[in-house]
Amino acid sequence: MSVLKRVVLLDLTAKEFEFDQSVDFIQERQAEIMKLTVNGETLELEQPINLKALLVVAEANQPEYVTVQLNGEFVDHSGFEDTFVKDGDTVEFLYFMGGGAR
Amino acid sequence: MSSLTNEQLERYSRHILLQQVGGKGQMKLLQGRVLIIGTGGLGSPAAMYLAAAGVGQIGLVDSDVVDMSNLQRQIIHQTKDVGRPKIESGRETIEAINPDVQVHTYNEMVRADNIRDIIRDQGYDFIIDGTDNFPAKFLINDACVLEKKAYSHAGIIRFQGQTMTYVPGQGPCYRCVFPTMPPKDAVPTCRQAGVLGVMGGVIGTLQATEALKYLLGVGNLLTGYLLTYDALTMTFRKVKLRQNPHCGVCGEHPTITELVDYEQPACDLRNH
Repeated sequence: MSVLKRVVLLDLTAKEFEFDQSVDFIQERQAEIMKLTVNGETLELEQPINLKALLVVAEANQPEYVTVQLNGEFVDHSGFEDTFVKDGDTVEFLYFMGGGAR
Repeated sequence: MSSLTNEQLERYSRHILLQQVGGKGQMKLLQGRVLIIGTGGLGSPAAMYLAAAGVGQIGLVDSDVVDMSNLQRQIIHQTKDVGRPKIESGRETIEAINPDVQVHTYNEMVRADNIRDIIRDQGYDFIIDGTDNFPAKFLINDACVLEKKAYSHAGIIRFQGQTMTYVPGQGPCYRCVFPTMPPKDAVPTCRQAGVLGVMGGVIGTLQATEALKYLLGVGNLLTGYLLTYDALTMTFRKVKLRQNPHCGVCGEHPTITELVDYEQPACDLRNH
């Protein structure tokens, strides 16, 4: 089961449009929405973003220490700016977890 | 030991009933050797279940003494044990659970210069990482890769836990996923962030399960997977992992060919 999460990146509001226009606008936009799976949850994006931005949008904990797998492949931190996610991608954030004894 | 005694037939009867265990499997467990590094939140339940299961040789590594703040989750130690070396109370609990088990204790921290000897000491089959800090976790990983030993990695914090199993040549190691240690104080540990007591019970018991499956040669191990558990949402996730060809210790061109001591854990706030 996945939780649907909508992320609006563009700073546009419906009030700038007439009602009919806004409906068209929304329908048009729906068609462009990309769906990703991030740590098992569906994430919707309205524009392509790189991994660096995705870490922020998807609220990764301590992005500087996270390990990222994009479609099963590890992506080095040096590649976070140049790697863009696309519709249908599966992204895993893997975290350090200490603890156990003390 | 070539066959089970009447007492053992009774003690292990619920195992023997299992098609995947049976008398033969129980004999494998009795001949099994598991090393548990850290007798804390993870190591406690792991050691107790492995003892109850009849794993014949159990090694315990820990240099700590029992602290009052350990008792909320480190169930191998009891109130009367506060101030005693953990390996001693650990041994006592195991021997009380099952006299079939022979306990080997190592009252020391794992270091680059002793870990391979400890692993070789009893020819352990499987190692359980129940440590609380990254230098130890990376050291155990590298030592197990170099010694070609299967081991279970795990970590717990707050309401979360995760575990993966390394088997030589069959999948990624911890360093494939996390190439380098986080810097000092960057990632909190239980001592700093807290942990729900039962987290060690859940994850440590999963580690014991992997050890038993490995000794029995049954089922699928968490090789090539990281299992994560979130107690607040009651969600388990099994994330598939690939082996990293650039891994420093198990990759195609390893740069780590002998062990070194890594920096002291940032999380060690004992004196703070």
